Amino acid sequence: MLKIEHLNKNFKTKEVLKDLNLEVHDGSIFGLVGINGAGKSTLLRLIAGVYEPEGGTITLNGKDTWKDPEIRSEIAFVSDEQYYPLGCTIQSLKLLYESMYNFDEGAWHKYMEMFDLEPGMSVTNLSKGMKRRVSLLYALSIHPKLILLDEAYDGLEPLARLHFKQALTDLIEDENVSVVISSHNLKELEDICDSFGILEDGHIISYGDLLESRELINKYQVVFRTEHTREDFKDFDILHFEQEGRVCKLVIRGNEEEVIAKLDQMDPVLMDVLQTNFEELFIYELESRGETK
Amino acid sequence: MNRKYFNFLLKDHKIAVLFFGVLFIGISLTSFIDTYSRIDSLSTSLTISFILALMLTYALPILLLAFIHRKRSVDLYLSLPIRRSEQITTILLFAFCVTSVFYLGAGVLQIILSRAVCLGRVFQILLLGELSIAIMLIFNSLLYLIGNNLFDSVVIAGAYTVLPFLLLLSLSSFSYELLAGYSGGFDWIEDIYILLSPASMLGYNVLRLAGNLNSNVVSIRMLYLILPVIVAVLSVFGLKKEFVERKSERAEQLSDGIFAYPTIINAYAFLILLMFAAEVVTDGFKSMIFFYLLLLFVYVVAMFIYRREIKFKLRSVIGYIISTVISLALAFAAWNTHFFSLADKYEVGTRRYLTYSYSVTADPDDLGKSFQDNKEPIEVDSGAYIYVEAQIPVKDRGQYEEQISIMNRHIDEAIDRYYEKSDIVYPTSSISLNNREELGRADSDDTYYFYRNVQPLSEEELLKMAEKFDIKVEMYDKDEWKTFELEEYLKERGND
Repeated sequence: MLKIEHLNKNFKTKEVLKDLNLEVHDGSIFGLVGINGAGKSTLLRLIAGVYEPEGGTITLNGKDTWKDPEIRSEIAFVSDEQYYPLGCTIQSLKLLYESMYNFDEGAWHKYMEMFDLEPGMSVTNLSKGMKRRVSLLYALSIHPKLILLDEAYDGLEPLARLHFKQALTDLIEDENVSVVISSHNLKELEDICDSFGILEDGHIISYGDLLESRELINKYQVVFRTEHTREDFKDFDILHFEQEGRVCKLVIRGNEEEVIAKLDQMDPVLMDVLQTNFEELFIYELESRGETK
Repeated sequence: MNRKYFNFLLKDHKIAVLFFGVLFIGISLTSFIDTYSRIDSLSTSLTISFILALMLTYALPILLLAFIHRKRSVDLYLSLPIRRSEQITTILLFAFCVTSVFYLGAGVLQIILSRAVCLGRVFQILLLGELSIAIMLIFNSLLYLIGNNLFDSVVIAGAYTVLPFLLLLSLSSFSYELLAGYSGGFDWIEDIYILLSPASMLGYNVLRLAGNLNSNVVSIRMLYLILPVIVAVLSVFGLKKEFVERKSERAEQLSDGIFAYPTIINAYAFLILLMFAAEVVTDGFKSMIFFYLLLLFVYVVAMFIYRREIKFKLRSVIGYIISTVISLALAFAAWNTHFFSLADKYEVGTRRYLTYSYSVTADPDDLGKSFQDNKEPIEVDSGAYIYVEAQIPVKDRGQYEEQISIMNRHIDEAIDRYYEKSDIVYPTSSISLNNREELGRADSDDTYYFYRNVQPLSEEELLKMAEKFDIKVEMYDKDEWKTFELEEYLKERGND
């Protein structure tokens, strides 16, 4: 299990992460979302042991990822901008992973085939999407316990994404791997993640099971006999409010049945309930905190 | 040391290692082609291989530590399952092994090709060379880690390497302008330069031994061995801070650390301003305005490069002005105090012999006058050339009081004329003063003063000097040089 407790990170005087706490369970695919500059990449680099925390701890299965380099052999980190030495080939890259990680030659061949890669390909000449495949190839070939993907899932074409999703599912089933994915493409994350965290202002502001959270936040379209204002709904946990004449469009956090019962008491003419997707969930969460303005 | 990481480095660089190894050894052994003297060839070969090894100690840290300066490569290499202390140790050990193998490989072939001549000395050189490689790798790695990106790091490491040379140039130029009697033989200035440059200290010892393979007298200077070792130990602490405890997020940031651009730009500016200030004191400000403005331009551009933005900052200009004021204050203080009294303490008696060398091209009719001082019309074609070398053992100086007093009086007057910017000019006479350990040819360690514009010694003074020293007068007459003893010349002139 990945456990982050009271994590702090500053860049000179700027506080990037403040007293951040998070748990990612084994076998879970965790989607990390946040606006640009929220600190997603910083958090992943801290977990990978690239950055030193100013305070707090990050442990994977009880071992500190900064202080204990051994545990880092079980972490596959695919950063947003991958580094490839000039003139390297897919084959020549293997040397580093063979030397430093628990490299699995069989898995490497399997994923090479899956991603449609050839050992002799010059990595520097590959397209961005193909380079992503190379990174994922090595991340999957070293038997990690934790895979960190910093926007590495973005830009994969649908077939490769499908293959990769399948590979992750297999790894989770076979080896109980945990995955943390940061991405801007929330629709893609929705397909693959089972839990999520929204990073904002250095904290995880919302965190939990994706399905449960989505069930807890719904869109309600209600028509009343008279015009209503936001004030009339002060008893609800409103994330978003829109009004056009007698029609009110609301995003309300809370148990769907209870919310409907309370709205019924306001004598609506018509009421419609829609499910939110992950992207809307993210937007409404931030909007309720005044961040999307 | 991490064995897995070492093996990775070795396998990853094996082709480059092989290529450069062959090249290194090949270049080192070229002196054995068409050789006439085995010792000379060996000496040249040992020198070349040491210089090549030294060059590698600059190049390898740049190649092997480049990853620390790029965000992308930092993500890859600093997330490896290895402690940072192990990582830097392994990199340094790898660099040391590569350089050592080249250097020792060349050494073995040098011994074979020279048929094991001067074997003991060669072993001594190789051992010293190995130590030098280790020290320079540690030191140069530290210099390369001061910056925060590739470009800055190479510039800063280069600037620190060149800094002692600039210091030497600046101090020499400052002293040349402001210290009456200053000559290039001031060993303390060169000492400062060497002491600030580990490469120079180590190079001094190795090249001294390599250049004197046959001599058992020549030995290394222990100070030049101990100090680099101390530098290496301090550099290890520096590496702990700059690599082990380094904040990875520094990659691709501005190099604004305490020892980075701010220090190096201001140090360079100050040393150059010191040279300018000396010129201002001796020749006036007008002639230097162009250079001051040019340096300000370069200074501001350097600040732009450091900050990666073309934005004028008053703070930078204030820094330049403060450096200018300090350098001018130092130069004026040096001028008005006879270079902090150093100009008046020329007769440094710390070595065994004081040697005054007086030379003048004098008026043949009055040896106490410069030849050019002769009244019109010039009646003779050539002046009388007089050269006196007065070598005085310091322990017996009591016996030479009169002669010393004559020479010192002329020196003192020359010093006063220098600082008073006197219009009186004696263009053909000079006195040089050595403070030597051994008689004979001047050694580079001699303290050496040289005074121009010395009033020629009068004939009475010359005769007094002749009581202790041999004085010859040379005259060019009828297409040939004639040489006379002083008294003989004066007698002959009297008869005429």
